[in-house]
Amino acid sequence: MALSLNFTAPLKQDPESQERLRQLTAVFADQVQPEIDAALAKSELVHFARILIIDNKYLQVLTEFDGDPMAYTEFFRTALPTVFEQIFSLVEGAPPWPEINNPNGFYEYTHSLNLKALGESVDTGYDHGYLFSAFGDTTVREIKEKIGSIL
Amino acid sequence: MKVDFSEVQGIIRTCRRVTSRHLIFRFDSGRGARAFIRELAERITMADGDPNSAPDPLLNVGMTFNGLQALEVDQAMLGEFDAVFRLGPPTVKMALGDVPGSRSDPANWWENRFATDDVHCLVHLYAQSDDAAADAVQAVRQLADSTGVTELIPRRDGTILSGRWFAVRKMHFGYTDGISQPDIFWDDETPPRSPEQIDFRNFLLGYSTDKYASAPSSGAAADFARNSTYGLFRWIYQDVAAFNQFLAVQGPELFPELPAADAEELLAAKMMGRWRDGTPLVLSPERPDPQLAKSNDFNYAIGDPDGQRCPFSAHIRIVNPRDTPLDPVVVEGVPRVLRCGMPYGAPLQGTTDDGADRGLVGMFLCADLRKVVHSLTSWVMRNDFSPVYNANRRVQDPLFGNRAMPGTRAEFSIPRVGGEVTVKSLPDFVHTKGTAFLFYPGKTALIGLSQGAG
Ligand code: HEM
Repeated sequence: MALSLNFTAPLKQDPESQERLRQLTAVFADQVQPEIDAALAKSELVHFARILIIDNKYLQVLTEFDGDPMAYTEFFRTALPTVFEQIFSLVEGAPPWPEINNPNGFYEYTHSLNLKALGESVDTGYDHGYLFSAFGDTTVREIKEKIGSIL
Repeated sequence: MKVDFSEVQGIIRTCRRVTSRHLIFRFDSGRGARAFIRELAERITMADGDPNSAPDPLLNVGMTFNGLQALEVDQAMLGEFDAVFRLGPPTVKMALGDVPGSRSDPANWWENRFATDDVHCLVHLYAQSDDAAADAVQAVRQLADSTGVTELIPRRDGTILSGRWFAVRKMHFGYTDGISQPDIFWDDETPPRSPEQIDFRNFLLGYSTDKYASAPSSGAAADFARNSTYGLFRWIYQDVAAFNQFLAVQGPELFPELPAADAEELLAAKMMGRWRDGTPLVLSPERPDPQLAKSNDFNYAIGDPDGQRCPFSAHIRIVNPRDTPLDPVVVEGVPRVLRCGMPYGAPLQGTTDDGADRGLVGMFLCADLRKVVHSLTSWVMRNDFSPVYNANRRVQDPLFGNRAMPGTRAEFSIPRVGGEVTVKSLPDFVHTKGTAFLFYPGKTALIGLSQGAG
C-alpha cells in the first residue's frame, strides 16, 4: 500500500519572503519542475506529486509513494538540494538550511511537518491516516511493468 | 585524527566472553540516575588495554532516549540526537518488521512485564563463568538499590536476559557466527591496510562528515557525544523445532537428487548464504570446505551475478550485499554494523518444541541508527533495495523475515542451473520479544551524565 506525504508548512509573511514566493511561483514550471520531474522518475517510487500554495500562507508538498519514508526523504534531499533549500527559506520557523541539510535533520524536520490524513491507514502499519488507492498495494515498479506489457 | 580508546566503551572492540547478563533499569529520579551512572562509570570497561586479558566482568552501559531524559540532559541537546533513537522502537516498528497484531508486536514485548517506554538503561556484563557473572549482577543490583534505580525483570518466570555460547561460535539453527565483522581503521594518519577497511566514523559519534553523517552532527551536542556509539538491542526468539521441521520436509522436496541429510544442509546454507560451518556459498556452492569456513573474501556481483550459488535473499546477501548494485534511492549506501550478540537458552535437537525460551540477544553497534534501522532491518523484511530483486520485490529474508509484514510474500526463490526452485509458504522462524535503542556514552558523556551537565 502506498504511503502519503502531506508536508504542510506555514509561509513567512514578510514582504521580502512573499516577493521570493511570487518569483518561485513564476519560474516554477520552467525552472523547478523539470528537475523535480527527473528526480521523481529516477526514484521509481512516487505515484503522484504536486506542490500547492494556499492563500500565500501555507505550502504543501503532497505525494503518494511506495516503501520506506526515510529512504524516500533522503533520496530527495540529495537529488534536489537547491529546490528544498529554496522552499524551506520561505517557511516560517524552518531551521537554517545548513542545519537540516543532513540526513538526520532533514528526515526529522520533514516528518515533523507531515500531516496525518483523517481516518486509519489500511494495511501499512504506518500511522499516516487513510489513503484510497484503486491499485491496492501495487507499486510504481509493478504498475509500470504491467503497463509495459500492455503497450 | 586518532581515536583514543580510553574514551570509548570496550563494547566497540570486544565482548568475547563465555556468558553475558543484560540488566534492564528504569530511572525514577534524575538524582538517583546520576548517582547510579557516576558509581557505575568507574567499573565500565573502556576500549583501551587488552580486552582479552581484562578481568571479569566486562561491563558496559547504554541508555535509551527516555533514559537520557530521565537523566535530565539538556532538551536542546537531546533534540540533536539521531531521529530514530529519539523516536524509540515502538514508533518505528514497521521498519523493524514488528508488525502490530503479529507475534513481534511491540505491545507484547518484555513478556508484557513492562512498557518499552520504561526501559531507561541497560547494563551488559560479560564473564568467563556463571559465578563471576552472578557476582557482577549482585554488585550492580546493590548499586541500583542504593541509588534508587529500579530493575525491570523481562520474563514472567523472574529470570533475566543472559547469553551463553553453548558451542564455539554456534547459534541456534546451527550456524557459525562471528566470521564477518567490519575491519575498522581508527587512525586517519595511518592509511587503511586494505580498501575493505572502514572508517571509525561509521561507529563513533562526534565525528560527523558529509560522507559519514551521524547525529548530533556538530556543536556542543556533538562534543558531548564524541566517542559514544549507538546500539540496536534485539531480544529475538528462535523457533528451532519449526526450523528443523521445515528443513526436514522442504530440503528433500527441493533437492530430491540429494540424500535427505545433504538436502537439509543445502537448504539451510541457501537461507543463510554460508554453510553451517561458515563456508560461503559463493566460494563453495556444492559442499562446506573447512579451509574456507572462516573466509570473508568474496563478492556477489562478480562471483555470482545470477544467485545460483548464493540466493539473492540469503541472510548475508541482504545485510551485507557487498558489491551488489543498489537502487538509485539508496543514496546512502549500505551501513555496516558491529555485531556483538550472543545466543541465549539451551540448544534443542529435533522437531518437537520443548516450550523453552531460546534465541539471540542481538546487539548491533553503529553511528547512524536511523540508517541501520531503515535499511538493514527493513530490507530483511522486504528485499527491495537492488535491481537483483526485480523479479519479485516482495520477498523477505527466509530466516528472519516477519511473514505478517504487509505487502510481502513468504516465498524463497533459489536460482539453480536447471531453473529456479521456490519455497511457497515460509513459516515464521523468529519473533521479537523486546527492543531498545541505546546510546553508549564515551568518557565525556559519562562524566556529563554523572554530574548532571550536558
Ligand atoms: C536471530 C536472528 C539472527 C541470527 C541468528 C543471525 C545470524 C547470523 C549469522 C550466522 C551470520 C553469518 C556469520 C558471519 O558472517 O559472521 C550473520 C551475519 C550477519 N548478520 Fe545476522 N543474524 C540474525 C539477525 C540479524 C539482523 C536482524 C541483522 C540486521 C541488523 C543482522 C545482520 C547481520 C550482518 C550485518 C551480518 C554480516 C554479513 C556479512 O558481512 O557478510 N543479522 N548473521
